[in-house]
Amino acid sequence: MANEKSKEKVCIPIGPVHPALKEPIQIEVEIQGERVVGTNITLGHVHRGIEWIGTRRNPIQTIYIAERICGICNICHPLAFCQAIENAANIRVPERAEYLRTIYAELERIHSHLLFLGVAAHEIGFDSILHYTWLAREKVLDVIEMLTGNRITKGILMIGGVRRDISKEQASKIREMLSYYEKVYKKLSKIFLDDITIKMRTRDIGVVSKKDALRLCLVGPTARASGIKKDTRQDFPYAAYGDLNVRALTPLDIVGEIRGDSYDRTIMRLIEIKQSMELIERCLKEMPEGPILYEQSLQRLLLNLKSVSGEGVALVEAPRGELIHYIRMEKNDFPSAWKVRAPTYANLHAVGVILNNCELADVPIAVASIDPCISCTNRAVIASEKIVLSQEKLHELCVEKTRAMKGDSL
Amino acid sequence: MIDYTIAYTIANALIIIFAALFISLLFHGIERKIVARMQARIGPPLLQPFIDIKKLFMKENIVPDSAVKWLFNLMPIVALSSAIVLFLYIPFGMPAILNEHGDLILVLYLLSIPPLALAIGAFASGSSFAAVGAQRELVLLISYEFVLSVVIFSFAWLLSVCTQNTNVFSLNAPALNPPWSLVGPIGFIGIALLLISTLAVMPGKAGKIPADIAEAKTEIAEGVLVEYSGFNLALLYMTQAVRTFGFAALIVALFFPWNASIFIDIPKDTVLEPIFFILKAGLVMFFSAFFISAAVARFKVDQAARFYISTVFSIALLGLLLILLDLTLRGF
Amino acid sequence: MDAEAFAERLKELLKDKVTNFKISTTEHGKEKRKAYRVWADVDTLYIKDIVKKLFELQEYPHFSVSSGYDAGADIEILLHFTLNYAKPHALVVFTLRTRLPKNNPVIETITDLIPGAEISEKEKREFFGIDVKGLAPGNVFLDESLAGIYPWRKDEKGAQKIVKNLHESDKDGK
Repeated sequence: MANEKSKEKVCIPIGPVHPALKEPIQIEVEIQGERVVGTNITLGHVHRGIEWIGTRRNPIQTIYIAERICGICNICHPLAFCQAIENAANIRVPERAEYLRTIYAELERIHSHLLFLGVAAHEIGFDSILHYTWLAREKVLDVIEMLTGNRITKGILMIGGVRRDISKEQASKIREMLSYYEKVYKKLSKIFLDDITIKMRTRDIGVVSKKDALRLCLVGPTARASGIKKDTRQDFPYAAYGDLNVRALTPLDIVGEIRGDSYDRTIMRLIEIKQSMELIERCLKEMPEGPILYEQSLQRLLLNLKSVSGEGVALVEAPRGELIHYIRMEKNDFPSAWKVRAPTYANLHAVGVILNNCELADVPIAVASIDPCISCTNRAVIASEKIVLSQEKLHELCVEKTRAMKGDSL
Repeated sequence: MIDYTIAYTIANALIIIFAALFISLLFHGIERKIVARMQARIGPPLLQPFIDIKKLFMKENIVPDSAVKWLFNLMPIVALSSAIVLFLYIPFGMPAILNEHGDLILVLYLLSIPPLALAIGAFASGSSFAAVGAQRELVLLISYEFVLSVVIFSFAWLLSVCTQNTNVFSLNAPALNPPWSLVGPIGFIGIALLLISTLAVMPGKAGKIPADIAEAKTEIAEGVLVEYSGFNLALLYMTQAVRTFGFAALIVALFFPWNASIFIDIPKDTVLEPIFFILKAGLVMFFSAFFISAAVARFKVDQAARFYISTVFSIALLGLLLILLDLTLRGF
Repeated sequence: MDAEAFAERLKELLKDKVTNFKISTTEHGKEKRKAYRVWADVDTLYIKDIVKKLFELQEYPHFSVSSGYDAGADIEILLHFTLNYAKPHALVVFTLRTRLPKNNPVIETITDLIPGAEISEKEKREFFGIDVKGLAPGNVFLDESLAGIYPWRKDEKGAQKIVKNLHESDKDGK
């Protein structure tokens, strides 16, 4: 029986509903025994029609739509959108607003990376780390709530600046949070760099070579883990990053070698937490005084935007990589075209390479190591008779498909 | 007269079975609380397993269309009954109900039936996730049974050499002649090594991290348990809890068979003895299962197999060799 | 090579093949650093040649995404590249625009040069109904049952049939 089993291929659908995935995506893996020999990815399960919606709302309303593309990438999408509109309309954002935007973006990065570290630990069955990192994450969420009024979907960005300022008391609370995170970071680096079981489960799993990463146009920590120093904060002087001179980090800076495996991708996000903490500290110190909005009155802003004709493109370094928005305005109430490309869009190309020759037990951690934010990747669902699927129907379809594919094996 | 004895035995057996079930679930609740505290959480109430079982009994029992129905429904019953029956043979401070009707070899067989039943039930369910889980369960079973057999036979061999006891596989044998007192210092270390390797088998037997591979939640959506629901799932849930306590009970019966009355000045053969036994079993479970499950990540099945077959087996073998050395030195 | 020099070199390289070549800058931060964006139009037939030419300036040009726009009689496809990466403040965002007539919306794929363009090209194929020569078959986002409906088009093939307005449907979603 063992021999027959090793020759037969079984198709295991991972998703769209699966405990390992936090968002729906279907990855069909063909396995022989415990080895993966083929993959096929289908997206679209949570495609919501956002770009289409954006072309039917005025630019200010679309900021809030952009925010809801993803629950974690909450500053980077509206930031890129606002920057694209500002590029098209030739609006110069005040310097203090640029620094504030940077602070919010880095706070979001810390939050997202802590979440990822917990999820990665959960995938390999190490729940203690999950609970520890998510407990630590509460602190940054509290600070974000203090600054913006909400933990996620903050609504803090506006075309031409930000809506709220940071007062001195709030700045001191931020510094308290940073000193708390010094201790958390020390503990987390001890865990991730020294623990044997984590290394056992992630070292040399899902290796992406530098050449593959360049050809597939990977972005963010996924690319940096393979040794490519691509970082939009370093390369493109948007917001206050031009002044901060950010340097892209690679695993060389923390473990001394680059292998491009799941372990590298995991610890990349660990050291970026440290980098974000330093950036926030510098921003708080060097922030200039001044206005925080290009145009205080929203009605006048909208009126200005209605007479704009032009195109804008903007890049932002989201926690998962390079994010690009393209907007076209044609003297209309609504933007004529809006394109969003989230970083996971690009990083999904890596899944095929990563899963090649993986074992089934490694699939969750390998896929999770690119930190997929599937909601960012899917942005339109056309609700039709067939596609409005409830959870049960999706699961039913998934199970039926498995049975159909299995044929008479097992 | 004979009828009376049988009725008496059956009544006692039922009491033991329900008590064992109750205590296993209680220990499961304690485990969840302890693990939660170790992870800086509050954790569920101590009686959570009972609440879970009650809920599961109320839920619908769904049998997949592609399942082999009679096997699918039979296996949970087989698993739970074989796990529970174990307690009729292990002495727990007082002699076991079916004392001398079964020995260590029988216990070993009984311990390996639940994983087999789980695997058969998983294959019978027709789900590919369950099939992968079942494969893993069987690989794991082979790995740790190997180690366990070495330990059992070392014990039996030691007892046969050192004592006049002809029934060395009896479960009372370690109580009559505690193995620790039969050997000198080198043998002591040998038995300690055997103890360590048996404790290492516990996560595998009990289905806890790092060896909860067959039920790996994030990898194969609960693996062997994925298609079970309602009544069947309640039985399997109880089986998992009973396996843990049962194996801990076996470890106590083999390695720590002393009664409380030896240490403290209390009357012999009262209900305090089983309580002492339960405490010992709890300590064993804490150190071999609860503590470890919060501290490390999950093995992959080949890593677990390699761990048991090479590392743990070597430790057990070394233990046996040390005992051998000790006995030879003392002229047996 | 910094951003300004790179943009000039790009101009030199492409000047006879493209039209409407434009370099625009925006300033950011206290030090007023410039962010460089380059725009160019090209005929559909020469798209692949231009992309090949980019390889002369950079070993692995980074393809970000392709946007699209329904302009009535034709469909505009814009390819966005971010070039000269991995050097501080040196990135140039290069956008290449081409127009496909709606009666013959054909464009060549660039996935043989840049494999990372696959999902983006498939998305344009599903959402605009253009024909991408040489691209592997298969949908990424939309289900096959929606064939014939191209949601990002503004003409009769657009999303009108499948849009449901919440205020028009009853509580069962009908």
